[in-house]
Amino acid sequence: MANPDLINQELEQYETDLSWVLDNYATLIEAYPNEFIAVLNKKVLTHGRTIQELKEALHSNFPSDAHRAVIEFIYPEHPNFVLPACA
Amino acid sequence: MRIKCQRDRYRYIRLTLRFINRTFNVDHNTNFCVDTGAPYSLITYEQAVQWNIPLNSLTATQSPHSVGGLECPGYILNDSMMLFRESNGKLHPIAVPKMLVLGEPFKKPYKPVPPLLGDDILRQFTLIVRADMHGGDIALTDENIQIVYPPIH
Repeated sequence: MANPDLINQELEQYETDLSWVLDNYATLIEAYPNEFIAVLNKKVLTHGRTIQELKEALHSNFPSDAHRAVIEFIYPEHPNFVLPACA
Repeated sequence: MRIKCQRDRYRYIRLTLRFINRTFNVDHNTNFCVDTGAPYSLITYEQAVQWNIPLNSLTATQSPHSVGGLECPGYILNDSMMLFRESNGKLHPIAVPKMLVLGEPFKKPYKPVPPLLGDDILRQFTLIVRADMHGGDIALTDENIQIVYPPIH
């Protein structure tokens, strides 16, 4: 496991960035509907139509940030997550 | 331990954590959707792609899985760990001996589902959900919560 202090710091940043995404969701819907976005330090680093597209852009341009960025799919409408059936 | 959760725009509850699997060098921050109705937790196909988990190296489940209107093949990821973070910075490791990983949905195009934190993990904790009028705080705790119900008249 990596340094706990570093993990702690990165998780705290992640929570802040996730809050930023949730607070600014309406704006993100306008800019990136039905797209994946990667957010770090309250900024959209990159976005993509598919997770592969996003991953390639993230790893090419921000290789050291890939593991700590908030990756979110932007749902323009209420998504209906039906519960999974029993295994 | 008391882990703070957040609500998203659509009222789903999100829990931030670090997901670690040494076999496949996974060590990523992520967030799961807390789903008290889900019998088990799962990682999505998108996470598997993002984290380079080779699905063909995992054991496939006997039958496909239906989640959020999607039907996907399933795989089992062994020996993972979740790290929860308290607001005071204390980290809490949770062993996850088995985790379902969704494969690519059969039908395309599709809208992805979020990773779910289901009853297999939630049963170790108590989920506290305060009504919006009482602050709206949501937390996962392992504290012994005593609930006193008012008498019914």
